[in-house]
Amino acid sequence: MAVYLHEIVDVVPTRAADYLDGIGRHQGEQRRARGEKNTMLGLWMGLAATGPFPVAINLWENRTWQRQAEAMESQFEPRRQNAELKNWWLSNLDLRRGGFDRLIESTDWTADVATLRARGSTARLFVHQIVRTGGDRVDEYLAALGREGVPALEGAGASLVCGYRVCLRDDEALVLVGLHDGAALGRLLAAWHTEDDSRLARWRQREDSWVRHKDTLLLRPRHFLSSPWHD
Amino acid sequence: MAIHLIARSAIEGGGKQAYLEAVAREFRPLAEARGQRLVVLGSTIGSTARWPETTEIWQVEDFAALGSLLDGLPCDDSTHSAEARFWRDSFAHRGRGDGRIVVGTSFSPDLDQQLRDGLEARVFGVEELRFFPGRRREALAGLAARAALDRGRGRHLLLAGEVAFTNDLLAAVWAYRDLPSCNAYQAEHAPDPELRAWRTGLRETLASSFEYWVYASRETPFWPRAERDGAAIW
Repeated sequence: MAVYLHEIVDVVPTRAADYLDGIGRHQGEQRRARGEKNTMLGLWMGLAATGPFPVAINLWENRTWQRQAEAMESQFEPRRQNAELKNWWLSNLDLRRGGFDRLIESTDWTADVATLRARGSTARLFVHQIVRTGGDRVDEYLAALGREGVPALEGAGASLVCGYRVCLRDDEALVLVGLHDGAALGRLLAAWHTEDDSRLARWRQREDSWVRHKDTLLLRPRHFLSSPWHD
Repeated sequence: MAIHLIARSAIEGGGKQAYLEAVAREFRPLAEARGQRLVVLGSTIGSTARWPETTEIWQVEDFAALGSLLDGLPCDDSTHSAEARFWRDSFAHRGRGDGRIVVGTSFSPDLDQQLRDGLEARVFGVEELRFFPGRRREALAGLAARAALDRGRGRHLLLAGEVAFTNDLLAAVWAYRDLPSCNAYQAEHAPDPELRAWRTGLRETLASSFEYWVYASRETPFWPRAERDGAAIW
């Protein structure tokens, strides 16, 4: 299971695209200079429809805890600090005001960046959910989501479903559902709110066994799986 | 099944009047051209919630219309459309915002019927009801019962539904004739034995609720018809 850094960024209104291009360029060029592969899963802008706005979301695959430690060292450790990162951090204060990060681990049924790139994706609209479960039940929920929820969502038009366990706490998951467009989301929502015996309706009922609350953002990708700075 | 979008915007720099006027003058025609209908536009009443803030409630006909709307919503990389211009310019008056999509229920009243019935209101209560997961049907039945109880008490259900993408939230919007009406409702709300019994009966279903009030601008379709010249909201 791979480790990811997930960021919800309070962007300065009207500057989300500039922020995402700036962080994308910085990260891509740094990785390229170190001879590393593309580790960007996606950089998104939030739509002013559900939850707070404006926000940006960054999702980076750091793969291992060792790589994650190195990333932290490049920011904090006196002898390992990355001057270029410091320069980026301090020169883009007009693009973002702060944020909230999570370290997350992918489930065994969630594809990594390389696999997703090899498959290709047509998703242009994403449902991004921070799912709160009862304490210590997040692994049960994610296993059930992979087994029952993913087929139900894909059967209702989702083109991509990814699930992650949020580290450093025992009651949160991140779920990312990709859809081709708004029409596909409209059909998925219509099916979700139809009370019948479909697989999706059964999953809707089942998830109540674990899920206590969901915070949802609808996202449009600025860069997904690739960018001008990520091969 | 009508879908409603509720959006709150934090106002910056004293720009509430300018923002509300810009929504009415510039955004409303664009929204109506793609099938959105304005339900409520106004100022959050600061004594009941965050301030300074505005609230907008829009309606689209169904899920297909919602999908089209989402495809057309401007983002910071939208450059050419009139909506993109409004999106950028609006942040001269507002900062951060928050949105909800509400999926109407079978007992959510029809907007046109309410207009034909002559419903008039200057104040709207925007309520979010948190229920225990797995108790959705009971929570909806409870909300329908509450609407029936409140009808004779000066609190008229304008719309009700499930908050999309959640498994524990309902939303309801209540219409009050005016400020004395919503304050009088509160004065009578706590001691009213019927309403107390309603709440007690739902202890295993409803976890909590929160309502805040919005004072409507004159663009709101339910603003009293005889008073088309409502005062500017600052």
